Amino acid sequence: MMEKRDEEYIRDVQDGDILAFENIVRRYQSRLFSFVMHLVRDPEVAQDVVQDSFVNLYKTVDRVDTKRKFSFYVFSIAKNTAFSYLRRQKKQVSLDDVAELAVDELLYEKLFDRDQAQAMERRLAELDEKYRRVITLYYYKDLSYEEISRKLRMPVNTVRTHLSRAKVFLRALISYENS
Amino acid sequence: MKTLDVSDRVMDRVVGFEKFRTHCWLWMFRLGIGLLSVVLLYFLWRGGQLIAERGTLELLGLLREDREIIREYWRDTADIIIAELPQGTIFRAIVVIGIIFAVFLLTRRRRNIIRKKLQFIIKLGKKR
Repeated sequence: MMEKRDEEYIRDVQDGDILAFENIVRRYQSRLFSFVMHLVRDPEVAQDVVQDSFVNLYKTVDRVDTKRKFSFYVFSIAKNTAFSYLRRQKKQVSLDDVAELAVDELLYEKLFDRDQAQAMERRLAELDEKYRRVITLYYYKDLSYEEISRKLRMPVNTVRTHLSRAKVFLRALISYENS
Repeated sequence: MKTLDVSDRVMDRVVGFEKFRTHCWLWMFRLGIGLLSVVLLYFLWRGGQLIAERGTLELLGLLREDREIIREYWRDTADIIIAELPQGTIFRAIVVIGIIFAVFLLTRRRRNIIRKKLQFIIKLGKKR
């Protein structure tokens, strides 16, 4: 049976089909976990934040505009839930982290969007080999900077720099294609 | 990407939340309709009381008369009955009936959704 699009599942949920929400959860849980992990840096906390995000999403599902891209909404809720958690823990979130997360949100949405899989492959292919490896290990394999550094035998700061440059390049490429 | 399965825990929380929300909505709806029904019953009772006080229904005794008398006096009798009816009370009762009808009409979609959700809640309750 062909899987439905996000918007179709959301319309089903808005029409009272609670079970359809489970499909949304299964589709986004791993992506959201990876996304939230980069902010809270604790797997158990990330699980709790992801659960809270989905529950918050369900509570506001009637307000979702199915004509707009649903994944933006999901990642937005996850980001806000993670920030709420960090504020409750009185953890400082630097402006750089917020800016980085905003880029990450966009990249997560693009990297894991099934409809954009081919386009993303093409964009990644345009990256330099060293940047492509770092991006793949960070986003698709969920490795930390230290793990990437050990795997690729390069200093952690070099990993950070490569990742930062790769993100800037990808963001510029996506903006150029959208303009 | 690391795999994760929080779907069971999320759905448990979602079902719990939906159970609470659905029951709240149903109680609010029943309370609203209940209050409107009480108001309607009051207007109907009050109208009946006024009609009884004024003896309006006695004018219907005309119907026991001969056909010629009925034919001659029915218009006047009808005018008197209409004049004596508690028009204000009847008007208010009609307004309340209209409001009840509008509430049912406007909440039709919502009630269908609630009914569907309750069916899923029962189904999920049996599964878990």
